[in-house]
Amino acid sequence: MNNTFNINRFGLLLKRQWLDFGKIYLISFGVLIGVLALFYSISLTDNNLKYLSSNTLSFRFPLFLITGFLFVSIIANSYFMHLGQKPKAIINILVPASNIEKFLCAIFYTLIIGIPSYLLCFYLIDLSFISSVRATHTLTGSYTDYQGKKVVIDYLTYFFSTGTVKNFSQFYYVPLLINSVFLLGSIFFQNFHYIKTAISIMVFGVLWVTSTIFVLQKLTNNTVWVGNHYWQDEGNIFFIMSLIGILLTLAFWFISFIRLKEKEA
Amino acid sequence: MININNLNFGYSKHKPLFKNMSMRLSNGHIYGLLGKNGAGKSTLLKNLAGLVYAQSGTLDVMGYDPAKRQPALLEQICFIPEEFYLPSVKIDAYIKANAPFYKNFDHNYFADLIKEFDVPVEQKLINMSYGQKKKVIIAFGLATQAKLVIMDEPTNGLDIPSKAQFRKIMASAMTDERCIIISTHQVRDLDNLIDTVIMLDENDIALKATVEEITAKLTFKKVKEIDDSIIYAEPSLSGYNAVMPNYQQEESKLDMELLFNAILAEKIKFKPLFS
Repeated sequence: MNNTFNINRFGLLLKRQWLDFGKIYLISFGVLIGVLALFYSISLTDNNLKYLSSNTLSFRFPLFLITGFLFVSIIANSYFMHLGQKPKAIINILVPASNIEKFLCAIFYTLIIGIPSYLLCFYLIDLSFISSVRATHTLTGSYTDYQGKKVVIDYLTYFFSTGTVKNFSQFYYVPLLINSVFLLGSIFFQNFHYIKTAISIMVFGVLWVTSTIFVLQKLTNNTVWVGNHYWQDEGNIFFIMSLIGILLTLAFWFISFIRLKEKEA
Repeated sequence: MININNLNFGYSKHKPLFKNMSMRLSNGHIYGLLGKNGAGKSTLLKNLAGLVYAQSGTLDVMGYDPAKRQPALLEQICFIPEEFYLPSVKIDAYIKANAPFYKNFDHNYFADLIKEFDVPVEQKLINMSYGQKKKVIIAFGLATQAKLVIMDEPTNGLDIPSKAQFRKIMASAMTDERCIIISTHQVRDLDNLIDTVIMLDENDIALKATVEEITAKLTFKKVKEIDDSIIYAEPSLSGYNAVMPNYQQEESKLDMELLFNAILAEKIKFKPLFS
């Protein structure tokens, strides 16, 4: 018997975990649909559509970020929550599956299912509301580019077709980072997982930002840049940030796995 | 089946629960694990199942280290905890999700046990009483055909007829390949079922002996007056319930409660008899 990974056993584990986690996932998904539909309905009332402007659909970007953060973090933070309660922890630890299978199962539900299902949900809600608006309204603008060509802008475009979404490609790792941090929080803390994880992020975030500002100010105060232009290129800065973000994500996943292995009941 | 060597464990470094504990448990036995509150009965069971980690020493369960939580060992362990959780599903759904992990799971045996325990199969597990839930996990655990059966206070919450059923089921579940360890305070519930007594006290094993060995070395009887031959006695309505060395090879029935109190009170006097 392979005690590290067995695909049949992993399949069984996915089915078994659905009994526990499925309910949390479906409730969260239901709430998400409700919240998105509510925000779209409030923002796209007949009255608002009468005075349609280029800003009418600008609510979508903060809505996408806030609900996305909440959905991804709640799903990740709920997964190992049961290990904080001894009776639940005993039953789950003793399921005949390896630690790596149990961890991959968490990644499957919170990441592989969680994030795409959020994107799909947002896409479908946006598609249905925007399609109905586009069926009755049009709002375009235009400008002439440097070649003298007229460019038409469609202000009623679908969310995932907007330039803003494409321009933020350097932040695509952020949902993975959120997943890893909250997954770690769910296994690290015994109770009040979400609040404790959120407070920890805030404390570490504030410490990180203030210490970075302090160190950089000390290093660069009254100095002149004489090196190459690598650090003055915005693209390079974002690349390094993404790299740090991905490394932190991998580190948090690894620590979560170790915590899972060491979890006692 | 189980080898414990110099096990050291404590929930905090300054308060050890086990100090250099060593013990060997074999298959084909039903061990009764006794001890005062906080003696470490549940903790010892958790160590055997890999639910907690020893500070030092080695634990060998069927050739595996339980701390590694390998599926090959986990599928051979049936652990019935005192406090447990069952999801909000019916028995069928629970079995469908959990039974496939155990390749020897006996569905017919499970159905028989559920019928014998008179558990309502149409009800969701979460809506069942504590006793009914306990019957479900006992039935499930035994149906896994696991070689190591660990039960922590299994008769807690069971009604009087269920306790008798439990004894009957456990006696029939015993095979030469199985090792059953039952931790309990309700010694009378498990009378006639346990064949070896393990008693924990003061960070170690105060006694580990088979019922035959105990009754061969000690005799349990009612006496009118206490004399020097009595190791320990407790007043009763018609005199005293006494424990004394069995020099005349008399036959007597083991009084587990009396033995438990006797060992705790007169540990030094018993030590030479069972060393």
